Parts: sequence; C-alpha cells; structure tokens
Amino acid sequence: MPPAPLEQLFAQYYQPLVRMLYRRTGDQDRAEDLAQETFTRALAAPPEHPRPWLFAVALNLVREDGRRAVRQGRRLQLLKGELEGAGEGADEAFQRTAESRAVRAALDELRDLDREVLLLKAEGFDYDEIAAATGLARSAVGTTLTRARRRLVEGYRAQEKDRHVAS
Amino acid sequence: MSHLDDGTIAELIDGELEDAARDAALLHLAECAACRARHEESRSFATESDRLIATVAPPRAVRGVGLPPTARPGWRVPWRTLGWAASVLLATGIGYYAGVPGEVAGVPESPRAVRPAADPQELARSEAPAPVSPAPQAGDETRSQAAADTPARPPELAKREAQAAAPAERDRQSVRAFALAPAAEAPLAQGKSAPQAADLATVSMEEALPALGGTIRLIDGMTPRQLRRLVPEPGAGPGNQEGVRVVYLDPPSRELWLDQRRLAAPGEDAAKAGNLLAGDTILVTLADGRRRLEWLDPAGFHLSLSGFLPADSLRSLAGRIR
Repeated sequence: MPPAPLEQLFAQYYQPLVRMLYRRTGDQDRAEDLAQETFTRALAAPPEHPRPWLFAVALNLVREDGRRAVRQGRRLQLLKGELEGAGEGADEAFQRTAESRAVRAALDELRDLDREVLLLKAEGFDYDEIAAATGLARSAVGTTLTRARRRLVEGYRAQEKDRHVAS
Repeated sequence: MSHLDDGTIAELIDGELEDAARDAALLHLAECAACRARHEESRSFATESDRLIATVAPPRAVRGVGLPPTARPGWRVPWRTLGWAASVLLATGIGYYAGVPGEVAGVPESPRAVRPAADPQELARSEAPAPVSPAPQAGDETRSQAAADTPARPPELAKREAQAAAPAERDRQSVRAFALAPAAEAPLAQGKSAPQAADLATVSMEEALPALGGTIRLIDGMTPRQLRRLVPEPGAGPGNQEGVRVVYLDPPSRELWLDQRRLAAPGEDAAKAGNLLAGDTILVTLADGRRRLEWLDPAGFHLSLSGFLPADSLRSLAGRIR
C-alpha cells in the first residue's frame, strides 16, 4: 500500500498525537513541537503503517527529551492558562484543573511503558497497534494495561486523598 | 478450566479475544466467583482510568490543525520541470566545485563555537548539530516508489544527470513532490510570519540563479513552493550581496525559509563577512516565534533556515540541504 499523502496523515493524526503527547508531557507547547517534529521525520521516511509509526516516533522523541527542568517551568505557565478557561466559572475551572493535575501526577508515577500503553489505548489503539508502537509483545499488552490502569487509579486516589487532607 | 489470568481478563474487557476464546472465558466467569470478582475489579479500573485520562486535554485549541483546502491561484509553476532543471544545474555546480575543499552546502558537522547573534530577541546557545546524515534510507519500497513517481526525462537532461552520477540521482529522486501533492497546492500560511524588509517579489528559477552565481541549494526530499529574491539588507556589513529565499511549507502550511546569500562577489574574501565565522552555527528565536539557524558555507554563502519548527527539526532539515 503506498504511503498516504502528508496532508492526509496530518489531518487525521496531528490532533490525537498532540493530545497524547500533552497527556504524556503536561506541556502543550512541547507536545505541539514534538508532534511537528514527528511529521518532519515522516517527510523523510513516509511510513507504510502511519498510526503506530507516528505514535512510536513521538514517544521516542519524548524519551529523548531530557529537559525536565524546562518542562516543569512551562507547566507553571500552563496552569495559569488552564485557570483562565473561557466559559467556566472559577470554581469549576479550578476543580477541573485540580483533577487534571492529579491525574497527570498519577501518570508521571507510572513506569514509562505502562504509561505509554495506557495513553495509546486511550487514543483507540488496539492491542496489535500498541504492540507495534511500543515494541511490547502482543501477549503482554493485556497484563501491562491491567497493571497500568490499577496503578493510575490508585495513584490518583492517593493524590486526591493528600489534597483533601491538606485543604 | 484454570482461572483466567489478568491478560485474558483485559482482552475480554477490551474486546480483543477471538470468538471461541471469548465464549470460553464468559463460560468460566459464569462458574467462578473469584474470577468474576477480578473481572469486575479490572473493569472498574478500566472505566475509571479512561475517565481520568479523558480529563487531561490540551487547555487551548491545538494550533496547526486543518490545511487550507483550496489551491492558491497563480501557483502553476511547473515545479517538477524546474526541479529537474535545478537538479541538473546543481549537479553541474557540484562538478564545478569538486576541486574545492569542503562541500557545496550544508551545516558543518562540528561547529567550534557559538557566537552571539547581532539581533536576537531571545538567544539560544547552539548545541552541536545532529551529525550530517545521508539522505534517509527509507527502504527499497520508498526508492522504488520514488522511481515509479518520477516523470520521463528529456534525453539531454538524462545525459547530464548520468554524467553527474550519484549526487544528481539523489537530487532527482528528492525533488519528487512527496510532501504536498501538486493538485492541492495550499495557500501560504497567514498570520505568524512577520514580513521582512528584504523580501521582494517572487522570481522564477531562471531569474533566481544569477543572484547566486548559478547554483541554488534545496532541501532534499521537500518541494519548494516559491522563490523570492533577497536584496542586500540595509546597514549590513561589507560583502553582503543579494540572495534567494526558497520557500517551503511545513506540515501545518507555515512558511519555512531557506535563505542563501552570496557574501562576496567572485574574487572577494568572504571569510570575514558578517558576524559568523566558518564552522559557527547560530540559533536565534525571533519576535514572531520563528526560529532561525544560520551558518557559513565554505563556498562563501550565508545560509539560514527559519521556520516555526523546533531547533532539532531545523538542524535535521539543514543536514539535508544539497
């Protein structure tokens, strides 16, 4: 099957890619940069099976990104932007932001592979695609997902418990 | 039947089991309370984790989504034909420069130093760029695809290309319009690009080449959208000549500029022109958010690549300039 034109790939996958990368990094600017860099690489080597290829490259780029301090700095700016969400009351916006922060914190606590499998599943990847994008054996995807889901939920509950105790 | 393992339970929840395996699992669940409890717990975690992940979404509209659907009037330049001509002329230029130390174009593999730019809004210290790599070996299927897509060549061009051998062959394949289909030429992006004083009207390849002394550098694997003539900038140092801007479009259809200026007229010394020394690379972030990578070409050209891309992407593209 010949590679799809870049516009088609872009229209189909750019937004989900940014969304996944945002969930992975917590930084929309960085997520958009990484997504664009992913498509730049697709220019050089148009993939035959674009979805797992694009997401695999994007996750590799995240792993290569060692600028954790910069990301943390940007996260503070991002929080400010979230609080200024249009069309919401301040209380609702704050609650949504607090929950989102707790979820991201719980995601950050997961092992890399667990987190990646979870985020790809959230983007509608089936087990074969998750295996292709992560290098995991297809037979191991189910057990990895089970573990990741449990740890995310338990981690989030722990975050919420700490937040309520502190307030 | 033995108890269901976590993987099988997950596959059942996610609809990944084949019919026979699914039926067997459901039958076991009907008979085994312990597995039923584990299944229920796993399903609860799956539902909750999906809900939690859905709460994490980019706070603002994702930029760059949606390519302009209509073709831009006036852009009926036969780029494939001009691409052939450019590759031939480039091959001729490579042959001319074959006796000169160093390559015709490209980023130095190991810049010795980064020196401050003259006009940065934000200056980023340039790291050593990624090693210059050959044109990506995307696999035999990509090269055969390139060969299949390549139009038939006029005999005289084929002969010249044969004489220039490997570099011309690579350029012929690289000029293939992979990035954007000719039938869907997108309007150039509006908005973020700040107009520059040096921009002038667009020019054809034939008009652009004399400004650079007969060769023009292109990015391997990308199709140029437009050529613009660059005049010497006001107040620039000695040796600043006119140049050419090759305009590309990045995936969100924003302009990517490859600017090339001759630093000195033929016979003049270009070594001390501007703020750059050969081997230096400067990375600058401009007020409009555009990043620009600048360097000196051993053949006496000032090159810059600028766009709304990460620095690593610019370096990667710079390594593909031929």
